[in-house]
Amino acid sequence: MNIPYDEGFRRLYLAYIVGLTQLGLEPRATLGIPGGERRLDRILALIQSCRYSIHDLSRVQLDRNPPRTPRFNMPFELGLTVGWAKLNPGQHSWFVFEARARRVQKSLSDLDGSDPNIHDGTVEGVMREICNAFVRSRAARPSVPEMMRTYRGISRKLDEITAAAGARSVYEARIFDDLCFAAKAAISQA
Amino acid sequence: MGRSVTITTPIPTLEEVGKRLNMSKARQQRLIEIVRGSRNGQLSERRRNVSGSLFESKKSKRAATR
Repeated sequence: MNIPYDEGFRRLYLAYIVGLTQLGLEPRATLGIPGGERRLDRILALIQSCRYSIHDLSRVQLDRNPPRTPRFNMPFELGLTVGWAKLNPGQHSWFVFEARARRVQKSLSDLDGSDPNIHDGTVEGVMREICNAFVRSRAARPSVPEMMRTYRGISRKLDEITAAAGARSVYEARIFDDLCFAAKAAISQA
Repeated sequence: MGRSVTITTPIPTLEEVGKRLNMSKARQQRLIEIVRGSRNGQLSERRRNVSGSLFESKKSKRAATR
């Protein structure tokens, strides 16, 4: 998951974790990697270790903190991934997710000819587009309403999970792992 | 960019996910209690098309041997 780590993205962050877990995938993010190495090395290692990647380019506006800048991390990491996938055919599939239709054509015209998955900035949209991108056999395929039920269950417990870990933010490595496990536990119970 | 991919890898069990995340049983138990509510120390899981797949925590194993 190549996504922005900010409070405004919390709902969609949780949606990605729940949706991917419900599809039987194991979400990974730079958050979940132990520290110590140079960040760029961690990102490259993460890309190389994953069969699939999702790059959410919906955060293209300037941030609020001075000096106001756009976020280049997501498109930069997408570029690294595209390079890796081109050099290693058949080893990696990448997907671009966006909130608004046709915006990528303006913000990243190098991707012209590719169709991003448009989630409309909603949790349900993320679930829908995850299901469109990743297909399982009919017997193992969750529905979007099933995924939404899991999402709502985990969302209700989010503060408790964060507090139990003594974390300040959902974007801490420990919480990322906890949310992946909690999502799996909720799904296994259903 | 992929339009869609078909996933054929097996769906991991809860136990496998816990192991992969290198989580202690105590931490797994705490999270399960938060998500599902307490279940007397027993972690239960149903896999698709497999009935009654269970794994037990050390706590419940100890209780069972007493």
